[in-house]
Amino acid sequence: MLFNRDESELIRAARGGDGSAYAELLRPLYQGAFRLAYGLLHDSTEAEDAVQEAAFKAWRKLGNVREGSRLQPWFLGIVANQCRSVSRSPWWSVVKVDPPEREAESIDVIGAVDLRRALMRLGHDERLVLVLRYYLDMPFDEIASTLGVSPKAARTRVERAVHRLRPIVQIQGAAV
Amino acid sequence: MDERLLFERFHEALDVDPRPAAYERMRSALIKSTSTPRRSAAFHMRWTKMGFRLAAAVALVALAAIIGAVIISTHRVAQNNVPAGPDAHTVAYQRLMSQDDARMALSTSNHCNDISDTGCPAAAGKVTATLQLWLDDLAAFPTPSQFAVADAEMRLHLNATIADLNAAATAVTNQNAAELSAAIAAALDESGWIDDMVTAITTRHAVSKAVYVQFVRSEKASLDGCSDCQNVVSVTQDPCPGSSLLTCRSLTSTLSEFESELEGFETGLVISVAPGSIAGLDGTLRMDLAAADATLLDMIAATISGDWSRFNADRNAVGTELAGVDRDSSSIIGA
Repeated sequence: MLFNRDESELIRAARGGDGSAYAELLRPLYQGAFRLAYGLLHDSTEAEDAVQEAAFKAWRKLGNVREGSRLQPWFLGIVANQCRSVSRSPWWSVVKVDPPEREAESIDVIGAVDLRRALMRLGHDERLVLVLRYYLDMPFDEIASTLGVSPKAARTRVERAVHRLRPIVQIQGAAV
Repeated sequence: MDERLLFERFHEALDVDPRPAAYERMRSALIKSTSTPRRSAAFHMRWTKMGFRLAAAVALVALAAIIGAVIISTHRVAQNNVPAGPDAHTVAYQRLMSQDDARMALSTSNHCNDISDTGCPAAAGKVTATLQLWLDDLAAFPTPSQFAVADAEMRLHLNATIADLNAAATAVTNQNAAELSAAIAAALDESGWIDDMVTAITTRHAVSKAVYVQFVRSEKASLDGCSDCQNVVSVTQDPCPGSSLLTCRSLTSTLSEFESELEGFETGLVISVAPGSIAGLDGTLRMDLAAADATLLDMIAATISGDWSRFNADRNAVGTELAGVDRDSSSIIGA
């Protein structure tokens, strides 16, 4: 997907230090970035902080974005790395298994908590591909763009992660 | 549970919206900031991997082969600082890799998910036969010098995958669910490593010294911050007392993360042709990374066999090799 004219102009302005233009550039990406961060960190406040920190880092790297590139996978990759850094911090030692922060009448709360706990037992890279695939609903080619690998490699990683998740939450039947 | 159910489960477990005005808070922070955007190297590829099953003899022989190959490769690179470009021989090698990778993908199927799958041994056998053909292709094809290290490592991981799949077939025959799960997980890890390395080999290209050094700096920082890697080096006793090493998730997960770190570093160096002025340092770094990778594979095999003394010997070795990687990286960053 090529940049549209508005986006190109925003990028030029953002590269010149225009924070307002840069924020506009990120507006359509924010929801997905937040969901990714939340899926990795399981804490709304931490997720918002991670996205904001990633936004500043991405700003400094904006000069590297090539015409014709899609912004979303590029930005999500930076968000994912930021979440990795957060989870490596010394204070990040408590496994977060809070219940989902939303109405819960119609969902299996115990199952949801089990899945969240199971996700936190996986490594960052495994958690990342699962969140991209099953929470952000990304097709394999978009996952591949975010990770910087081939679509086939992206599929393999998802399959590996599902395989690791399966014994923890008794998920069965996903293609391996 | 099918894929659709996975989607549902993930959304049930995680669906949450940002707090009100979250975007506006970020927007405000961005506008208030006095950010001075600067150009920096964009090199943010990540890969993951790890393997479980590998016969010790294969690992040790392969390790020796890797070290020999790297010494030869480093010597060649040092003699000629300009890495081979995409000459016909290199292109043919890259094509061979892609074709064998595609053939492997075609040979896989949805089998071996549980011990009741009687079709698992035949399905696994089909894949191992394909992997053996790949090994035969590599044996018959003179390896381009710039891929000597990657080629040796590829053979190591192809052999490991064959061992994993044979173990999976045996586990089904023996109705051993734990061993099947470990073997298939290992096979999937290995196939991921192979995919990533093929991608790296087929996309190798020249980069500037600044980009190369930035990548090494970034990977060194990542390795320095890898608590799992440090845990593997520093562990001195069974981390899962009373449980089978085969099913010890904390240990296997730790080793997996360690392998993931090494893989990102290794494949990144395969993608990036080091500038001539630091080609020798690049060769040394790749040698130490390859040695650490091979040792880690042997550690993984040791966890499966429950051979704690072997695990400890490897742990000491990988600690030394990581120190070498750190030293090599520092030399490149300071070059």
